Amino acid sequence: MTKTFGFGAALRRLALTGTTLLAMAIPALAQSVDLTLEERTVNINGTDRPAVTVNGQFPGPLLRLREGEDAVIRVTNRMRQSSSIHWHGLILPSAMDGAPGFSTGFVRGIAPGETFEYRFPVVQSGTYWYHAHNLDHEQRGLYAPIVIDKRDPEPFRYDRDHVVQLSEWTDERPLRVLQNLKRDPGYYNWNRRTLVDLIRDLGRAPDAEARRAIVRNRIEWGNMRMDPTDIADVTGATYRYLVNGFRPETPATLLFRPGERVRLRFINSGAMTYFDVRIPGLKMTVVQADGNNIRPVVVDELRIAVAETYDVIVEPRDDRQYQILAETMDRTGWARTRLATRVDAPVEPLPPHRPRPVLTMADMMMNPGPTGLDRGTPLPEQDQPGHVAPMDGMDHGSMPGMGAGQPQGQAAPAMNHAAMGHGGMAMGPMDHAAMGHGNMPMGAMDHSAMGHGAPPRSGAQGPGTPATTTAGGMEAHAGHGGMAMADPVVHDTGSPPGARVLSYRDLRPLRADPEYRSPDRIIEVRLTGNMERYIWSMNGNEFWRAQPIVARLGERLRIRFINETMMNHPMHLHGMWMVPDLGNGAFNPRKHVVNIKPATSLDVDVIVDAEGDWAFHCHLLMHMESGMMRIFRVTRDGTPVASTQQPAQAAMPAGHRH
Amino acid sequence: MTFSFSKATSAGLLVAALSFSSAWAQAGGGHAGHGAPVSLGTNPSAVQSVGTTAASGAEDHSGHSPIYFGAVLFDQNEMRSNGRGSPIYAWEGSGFYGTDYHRVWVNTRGETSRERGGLERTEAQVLYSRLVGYYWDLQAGVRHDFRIDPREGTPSRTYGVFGLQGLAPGFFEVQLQGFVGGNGVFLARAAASYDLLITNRLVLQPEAELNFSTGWDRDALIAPGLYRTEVGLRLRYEITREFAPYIGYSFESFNGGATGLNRRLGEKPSQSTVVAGIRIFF
Repeated sequence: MTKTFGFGAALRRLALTGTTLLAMAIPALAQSVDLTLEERTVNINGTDRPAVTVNGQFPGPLLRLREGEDAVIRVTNRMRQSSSIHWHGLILPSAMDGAPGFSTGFVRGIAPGETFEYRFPVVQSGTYWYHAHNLDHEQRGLYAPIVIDKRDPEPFRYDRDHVVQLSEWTDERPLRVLQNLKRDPGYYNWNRRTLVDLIRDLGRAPDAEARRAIVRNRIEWGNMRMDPTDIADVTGATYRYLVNGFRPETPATLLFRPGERVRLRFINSGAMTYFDVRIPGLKMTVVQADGNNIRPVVVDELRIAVAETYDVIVEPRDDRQYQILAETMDRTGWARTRLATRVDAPVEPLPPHRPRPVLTMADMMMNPGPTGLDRGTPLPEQDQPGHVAPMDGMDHGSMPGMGAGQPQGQAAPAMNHAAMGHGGMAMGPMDHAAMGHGNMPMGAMDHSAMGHGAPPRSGAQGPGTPATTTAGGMEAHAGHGGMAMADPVVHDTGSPPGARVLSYRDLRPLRADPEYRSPDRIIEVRLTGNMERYIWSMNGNEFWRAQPIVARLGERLRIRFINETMMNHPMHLHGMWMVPDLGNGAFNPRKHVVNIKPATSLDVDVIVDAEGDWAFHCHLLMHMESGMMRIFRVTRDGTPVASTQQPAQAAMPAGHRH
Repeated sequence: MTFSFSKATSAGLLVAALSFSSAWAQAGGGHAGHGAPVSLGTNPSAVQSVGTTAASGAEDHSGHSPIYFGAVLFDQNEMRSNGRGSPIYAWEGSGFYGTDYHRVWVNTRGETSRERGGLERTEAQVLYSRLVGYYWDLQAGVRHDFRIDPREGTPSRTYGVFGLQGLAPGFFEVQLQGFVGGNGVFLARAAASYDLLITNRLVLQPEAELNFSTGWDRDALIAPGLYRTEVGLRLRYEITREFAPYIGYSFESFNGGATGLNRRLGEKPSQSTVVAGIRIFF
């Protein structure tokens, strides 16, 4: 309204600049904060584009809170569309969570012109972040770090503290990017396998057998209609990768004095990008993951999934600059910042990219389709058509091509299911088509033809039948065709031999989890989708047609993730901790994001201690926006809970080999 | 067997297609982003009866309704020359709008006449398209062949169309279509193409199309069996995904009885042309 009055606008801008300066000067221990959301022009790539700013900043200002006090945050929306701020990883009441459509009383978010007051007790400490809970505003800049100071002193010492917030920027409208992917899933992939590559590979092959394997491998992928180079949906073709808002060519400088212990708070605020982080010349001591302190572990590299945070301590001793390199997983770009002793140090060149990873047959081995396990929904649920890739194109018996160029390649005979000998397993009941998945492509359903060695017990139950096939499910798991699943938590970052790369298994809390116990029940969450149509879903149903997953307050719910797709999915649950089962019992870590690698399965326990409706989704925003999301509904009682059957202990540590 | 019959058939098919899509129409809560809970067939979304916070449940997901989107592809948008006379312009394109599952498809093709100018063999299809499997869409709708010049060229025809479109093993784009109506004959068309990536931007695309008929439609140059074949080979350079100039070769031929029908008109039954054009995708 006041837009017409130039003076008023100028005054407001002045006031805003004032607050901006203030916010920058004192990231402040003040627990009362005002944040204003505004659209402003930024120029990242030489073109003026509208960004979403917080208090005039892109990315938003650091929010510093103190454990044990109440936070009061007033968020004013000065944009034309509704917006929201979600406090990522914070444990708070559902109404304050800031996820429009989920959080109680926050149905449409913060309407234009409105101010919403968030008020919640701060019950934790560590590194977190906040962001808009929608694709458009988050991708355009509405994200920023949260640092919560611990009430007691940290169990580790450091002299200096820097936030390293990784993100990406595109000049395209975020929704346009999604539409491009829907129109052509390979739209941003300019690194597909070509004829030229084939000729080069054949030329390098040592013998005729290797050449045959290369050709067979090409044919296999063609027959499956899958693209082995599909590592990232959105690539450096449109993204510029940023650290604290700066491009790699003009990096921000994080100052240090030689000999200091510097705490780096890595936050992956990217919408779609996994980063492999390393600091040549320095070891990183990881002390915290997703805001929770862990036993210090020294690594050379770490892969940070979207929306995760890792705090590391480095000790640069020399009076020189150290590059903090974050290479995208698909090797199409860099995010980079630097540790230096002075701001005017010359910018060093970026190193050459590491070889691009290529998906292997192992990344698509696991596609069981519906197994009949309980899905945690109030009513039985069936997959929508087109969410399970047909397996008929995959002749597992003839996959010697697997061995080509893979570190973990197996001997060909191991791949032949027919030769696996699933002794004593009645295959008849595995014909799920007879169980009422009438609308499924038969190729995908005929499990007996795939050689999945699940015992008849699990097959005998229809999808969504109340009884949880805990033990059976586990066996079905173990008997999964006898194929070795890739280790679900180990990352191949292409690091040099001897370098140590962080894995979830290294994340061990300082003290045994007092709430640790065996789960009360198990539900299955298959990560599903259609790579060709860019459809993404959980258990074969997109968000708008899916039922909520219902949990009961006080229970410990085990979610058995099965990633049937060929992409990584960073799964995020609001309001409650997730505990991936890494075989460490009470020393499994608490996380707010758990990455599920392609074609792997991981058991993740949820400590169900927060009533209300919570968002549960893949944090790749394009996946979330296309439907890979559920309501996670926690009710006090009266809920038809499928089963309280006590599962066997020793369930399924990640990385177990079948 | 009359023209009105064909019209009725196609109208019926169209109605069927539309009612098929009624679920989509209801579900399309629109861009406002507050789509009603979709209950499609066997997947009831009866969440209201469950839980204590049902009121804020599946009914409101700001900004999280199915995404509507569309695309237009002019795969062929080219000049064709057989080395004699003036070159002709020809196009073959398609476009859609809708969701992942339900789309309205428009296919169109045609060319300018070598002798007279104006358009020849101009066809448009309007189809409803539904995702039925991981790689396949089922389609139904109408096709109309236009007669541009009332005195010359093939007569106008309207057909009901049903078809299957998708990606076959080996990454072959496949389109199978059946046509009913036009003068009581049943027509079928099978088309396939493949993108051979020489480099990531240089793409060689072979394509083939076969047309079949169950009977004679002499005015429309249709004869029983295989009556028309088109084969092409195009080499494009994708400057962007949207804009890709290409050169290529195209061979069109009437086959079987249609050869004679074509000769009677004094035209050559087959034609080899060199083509140059720009593939457009937006």
